[in-house]
Amino acid sequence: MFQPLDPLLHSELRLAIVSLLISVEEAEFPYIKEQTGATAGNLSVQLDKLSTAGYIDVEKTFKGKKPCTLCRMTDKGREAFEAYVEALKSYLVVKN
Amino acid sequence: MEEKKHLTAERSLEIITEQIEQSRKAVAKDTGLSLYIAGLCTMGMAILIGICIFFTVNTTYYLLYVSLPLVIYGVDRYVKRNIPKVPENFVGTMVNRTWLTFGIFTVSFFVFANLYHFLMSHTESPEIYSRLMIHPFRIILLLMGMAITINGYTLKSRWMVACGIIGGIGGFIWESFYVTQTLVGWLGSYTNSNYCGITFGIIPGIIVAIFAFIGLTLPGMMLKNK
Repeated sequence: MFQPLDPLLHSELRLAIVSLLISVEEAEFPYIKEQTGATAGNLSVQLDKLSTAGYIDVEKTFKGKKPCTLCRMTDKGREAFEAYVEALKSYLVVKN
Repeated sequence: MEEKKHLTAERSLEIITEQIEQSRKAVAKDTGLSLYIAGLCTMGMAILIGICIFFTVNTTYYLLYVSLPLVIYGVDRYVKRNIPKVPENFVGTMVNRTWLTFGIFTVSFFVFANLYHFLMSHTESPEIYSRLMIHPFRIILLLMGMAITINGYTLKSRWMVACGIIGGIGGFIWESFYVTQTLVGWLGSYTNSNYCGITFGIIPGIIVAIFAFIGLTLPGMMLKNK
């Protein structure tokens, strides 16, 4: 039986962001942009969506005089990611 | 990365794998660059101190090693000034903290040993002083060997583990049995100042440079180019 996939994570860019953040403590905006290959505007929109859902924490701070955006996963985000991977398994098992 | 309405389960899995792998590689590359910089700085410092002691026969230049952590930090910041800050993962954190622990212990021990020598040489007779002397270099080699071995296990590099064990224990034995001094003494034909310059300047400098190359520069280069 197929399990429902979280629509918030079932998007290329948002899934890439969450997969990137899951293995690190926190990451800066330019790093996520470089790793995902997304544009700054699109990335900002997707980060906002994930932040509104409570999946990630976005902290706006300063690095010297330059503004710096830090993103980190929340416990809710980790749980959602785990559930997403579990749901994904059900699709792959049925197909195999 | 474009937004696509129809994302298959296979593609989702691919994205997750790609991103985790990409992140792992970026972290390994960044850690590698830091190790590479630390290795080059240590080698440069060892050569500089060796040259200074050779020409002046003044072992006070060893104190320049105390500034090494600051030099490494400064060069690292300068080289990475235009690169987005890479987050740390478990492996990167372990490697950095191993070297940090090694740095704290080594610099503290080195400062303590020098203070101890200074006090002993001013308060005790030369006979007692020569018997109670601390030889920091052999302990530093042992600590460096330990740091290289631990990092070899963390980075899953067998040759690094082997180099750490052989270099650390070998260096300790080498220094404990005064092999350097004996070898230089056998050369015999040098003047007194050249003898001191070679014994206390060039040879320890070469040993530190070799250790830095094996333990820092080489693994750094490997990780950086992976």
